[in-house]
Amino acid sequence: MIAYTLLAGLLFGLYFSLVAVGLNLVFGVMRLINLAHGDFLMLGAFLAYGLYTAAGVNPVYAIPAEIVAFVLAGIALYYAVVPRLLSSRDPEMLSFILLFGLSQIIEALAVIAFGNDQRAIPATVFGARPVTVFGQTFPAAWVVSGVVSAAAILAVYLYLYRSRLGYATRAVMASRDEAASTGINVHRVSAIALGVGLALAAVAGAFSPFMLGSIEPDMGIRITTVSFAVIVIGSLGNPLGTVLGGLVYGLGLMLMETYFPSWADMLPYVLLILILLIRPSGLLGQRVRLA
Amino acid sequence: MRASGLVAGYGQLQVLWDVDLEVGDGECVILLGSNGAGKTTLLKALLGLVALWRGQIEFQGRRLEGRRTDQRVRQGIAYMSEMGIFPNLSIEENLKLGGYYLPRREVRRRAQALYEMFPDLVQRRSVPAGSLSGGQRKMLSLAKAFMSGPRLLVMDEPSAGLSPRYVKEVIATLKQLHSEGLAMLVAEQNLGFLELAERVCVLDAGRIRFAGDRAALQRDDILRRSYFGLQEATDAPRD
Repeated sequence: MIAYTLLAGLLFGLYFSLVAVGLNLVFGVMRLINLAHGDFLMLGAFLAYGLYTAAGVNPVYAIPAEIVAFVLAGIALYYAVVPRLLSSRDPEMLSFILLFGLSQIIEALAVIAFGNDQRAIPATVFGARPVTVFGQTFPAAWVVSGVVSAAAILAVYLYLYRSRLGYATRAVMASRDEAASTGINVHRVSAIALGVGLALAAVAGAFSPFMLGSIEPDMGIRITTVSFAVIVIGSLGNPLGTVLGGLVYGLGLMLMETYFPSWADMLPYVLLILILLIRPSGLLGQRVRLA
Repeated sequence: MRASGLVAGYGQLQVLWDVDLEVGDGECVILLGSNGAGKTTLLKALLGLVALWRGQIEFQGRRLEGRRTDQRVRQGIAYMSEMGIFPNLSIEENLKLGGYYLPRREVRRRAQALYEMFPDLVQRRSVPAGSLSGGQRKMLSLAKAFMSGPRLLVMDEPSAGLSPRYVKEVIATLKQLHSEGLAMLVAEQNLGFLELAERVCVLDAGRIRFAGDRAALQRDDILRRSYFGLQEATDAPRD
């Protein structure tokens, strides 16, 4: 039982890392909490659902379309909103209000477009047979989600630590002014980071019907809360710290659902409060915050 | 670079009042001033990091107002701020970013040349820049600024936080770069940097109080006594 719980926790941990990593990337680059993060994940989920119901597209094959659509949406959103926000006197407070408003608008539009019903993609889309991992059997959808999440996190690592654009992104995380005075087009780098952040959320959304049970237009705020808990647990502002936060959250969730199922919904809030009280800089601490 | 009538500030607070400044080709201008005189604001306004309320800036015959900071840098102005480095990135990554908009082969060639110029950095090229000592950080900051092959190097208090030994090293390095034709604008409080200067500007409460050559500064008794606390004329002002 415990082996199953731990392995399931690992799969869900990888998935929740993917859910939250985009939020942390955006916070690291712009120092803004994207309160609409979960709503973009919801839109990614409905895009995958739409492609499946309209053309029978497997969610894995929907990933390229999700990436292109949401990178472009992120870049457009950046240039429409963020430069003005950042040049205001109180960008943090304004961003809270503006992004909360955006979250509400996305949710309302999604209700108009898709209705309030819960939707799902049958897990058999990945095959009817379960998959055995280290002697434990899991639904194929969980394993596919875990593998896709791990691949996406590896891609984030390669982007940040092995590419010129990634060096520039980390430079902007350290100091926008210093980056600009090094010759980096800070707006372009930030716009791409926002696009990547939204695309990661959308890819996570494509697997949410399997990992979260169902999709509905009002799921965004819950996802944003969970994502925020995950990045605070790891290290706020350090995208790769999200992996640790995701694993802690995933393992915690599986243990709670196994042994104290009626308490499981409280987990993100309890972890968030505990971390803020005991170690506000996250498990990885201040020194890696800008890594 | 020629700047005229610069007026700038933060929010409602005006910091610069009709500042005129000129740095000729290959010239070194030292901008002196005490804390709060507006030196950093002036440099940031030249780079576009602080919004200009009024005034004109011209560099190599082109107007700079309204251009982004990175566009000004690409025109040949390098800025060495007090921070000067990205502490979370390795030395090598810092240097690569210094030549961000150059072709990769050119970046490699220039980084190699700078490693020869700053041998202390070679051994530690993969360590985070934040782990370097204050002096090494300044050298890295200088190397990073120099990566882009600037025509004008703008520096904000390169001596800040350095021991006298490192200050001498920084001055010697700048002297070498200047002898190769690099124009420099150096904001400083340390009078030791005057030995680099062809011209000196003194900024006080956001206004240029003096602009002239080093000899003229030394002849200005009022300025020497009231501002720098120097008692007698010498060939080179003392720190």
